[in-house]
Amino acid sequence: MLGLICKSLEGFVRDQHGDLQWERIRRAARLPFERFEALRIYDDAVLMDLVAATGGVLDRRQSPLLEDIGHWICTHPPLEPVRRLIRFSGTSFVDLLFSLEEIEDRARIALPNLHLPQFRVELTASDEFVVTSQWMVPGAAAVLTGMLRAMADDYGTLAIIERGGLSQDGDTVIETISVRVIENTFHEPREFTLGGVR
Amino acid sequence: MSVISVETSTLDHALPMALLFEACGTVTHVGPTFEKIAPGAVGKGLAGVMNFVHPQLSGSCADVLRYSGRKLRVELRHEANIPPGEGLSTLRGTVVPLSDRRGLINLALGADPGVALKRHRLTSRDFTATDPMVDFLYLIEAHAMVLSEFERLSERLDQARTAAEEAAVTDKLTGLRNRRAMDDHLGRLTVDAGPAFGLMNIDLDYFKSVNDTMGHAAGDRVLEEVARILRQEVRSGDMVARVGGDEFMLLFENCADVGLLQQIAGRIIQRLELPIDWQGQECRISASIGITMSSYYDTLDAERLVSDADSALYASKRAGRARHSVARPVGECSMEPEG
Repeated sequence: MLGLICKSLEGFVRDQHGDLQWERIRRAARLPFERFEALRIYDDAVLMDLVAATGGVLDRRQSPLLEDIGHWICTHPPLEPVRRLIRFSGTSFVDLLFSLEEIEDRARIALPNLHLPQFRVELTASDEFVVTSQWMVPGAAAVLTGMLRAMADDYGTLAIIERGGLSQDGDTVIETISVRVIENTFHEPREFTLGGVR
Repeated sequence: MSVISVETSTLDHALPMALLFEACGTVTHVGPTFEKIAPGAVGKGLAGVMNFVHPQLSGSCADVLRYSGRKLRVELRHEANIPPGEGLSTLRGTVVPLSDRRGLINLALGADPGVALKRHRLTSRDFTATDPMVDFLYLIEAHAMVLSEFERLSERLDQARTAAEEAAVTDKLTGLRNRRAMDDHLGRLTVDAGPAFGLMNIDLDYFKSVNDTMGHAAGDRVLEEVARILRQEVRSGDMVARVGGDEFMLLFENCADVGLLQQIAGRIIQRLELPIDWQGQECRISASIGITMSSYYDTLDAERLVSDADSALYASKRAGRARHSVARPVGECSMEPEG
C-alpha cells in the first residue's frame, strides 16, 4: 500500500488536532519514523495499527473518526484537487456515485501501487443505491461515507448516506453503504473550476 | 454509399466542439463547447473565426476541404477569457466534407488541455460521455502531486545530508571542526601545493587539574571558552579544530608570515590565562603552542607538518609551558620567549 493513504490520515491529525497529537499517535503506533512518505510502500498492517492508535489517542470510535477523515479529504483546501476530480467525474451526485466504479482503475493508471478500494454501485430503487467496497482492511466504507456526505453537500444534493454491514471473503473485507437521494438539487452547487493544477 | 442526415442537436451531443460551414465559408452552426470557448462564431467567415496554424491555410472553403482527414492545428480568433499576457489556446481539428461543398470541422483540446479547461471552466458536461478527458485529469493531478512530493523529498534529503556531513566534521561540545575535518583539509592543502599556509598546534596547560578539582562540567565550560577565544583570534576563513581532549589545531591559509603567527600565539596564550568563571569559581589555564609553516618545506607532507608542529609544541612544554615555539624542519626548534 502506498504511503499516500497513511499520509492523508497523518495530514488530518496534524491539521485538526496538531503536531503534538500526531507525535503521540506515532509513538502509540510504534512508527519508527516521523512522517509518512507519500510514494513509499508500507505494509498494510501499518494502516491498521495507525487507525487503532489514532482512535486511542483521540479517544474516538474508529468509524466516526474515518468518516471525519473522508469529509476532511473533500473539504480541506490543500486537497482541493480531490474535490475537483470528484466533481469533474460526474455532473450530478448520482453520476458521481456511478463513477465510483472507475476510481480504482483511474488511480491505478496514475499510481499503480496506491491500491484504492474497489467499489460496485447498484441501483436498488429509483432513488436508492447500495455501494459495495472491497479492500484489504476495514474502514473503506467509513471514509467513503464521509466523502459522499461532503460531496452531496458540494453538489447541493440532499441525500441520506449510511454505513451498512461488514463481511470478509478471505483477505478481502467487504463493506456496504446505502444512499438514498431525496432531492437532487436541494441547494445551489458549490462553485468549482477545473484544471487548477497550475 | 448510404447517406445519413443528422439533427444539429444530435450533433451537439456527439461532437460538442464541432463547427459547420457553407460552401461560401460562412459558419452556420457551432457545438455548445465551441460556443463556450469562442462565442459568436455563427454568421462569420471561416477565416475570421479560425487561424490555421499548421498547415497554414487561408481559411477559404476550398482550401480547407482539401485537407480533409488530416490533423490541423488551429486557434480560435475570438477565444474568450484570455488572461492578460497569455495567448490563444492551441486546438486540434479535422475537416469532414459534407454534401454541396459544405464542411464540418471537429475540434479537440490540444496537447496541454489544462489551459483551456481552466480558462473556460469546462466540466465533463462539455465533453462527450466517453471522452477520456476525466482520466487525463486524474493523471495531471497525480503527476503534480508526485512531482511536489519528490521536490519535498529531495529537499529533506539535502538537509539530512548537510546535517550528517556537519556532524561528521564537527566537535559537538565546542562546535569547532574535528580531527577528521582538519586531516582532510590539511591533506587537500598539501596535495594542491597552493599558497603558503601556517599550522599551529595548541595544548592546554593545567586543564587536567581544572577537570580533576572542579569537575567535568567546569572542564566543558573552559573548553567552550577556549573555542570562543580561538575563533576570535583567527580570520574567518582559517580553520580551528579540536583534535583531542585539550588539543587544538589552527590552520592559517594564505599566510607565510611566521612573525604574525607568533604574535597571534602570544595573544592566544595571554587571553587563555585570564581566569574563566565557573559558578563563581575561577578556572585558570594556559597553553603551549608549536608553529610550523608550509614555506619551510620543499615537498609538503601533512603528517610531517603535524609532527613538526607537535615537536615545537613539546619544546614549549619542556621549556616550562605557557609559551610558543617555531619548528625548524631540519631538526632544531627555536624557542621564543612567552607572550
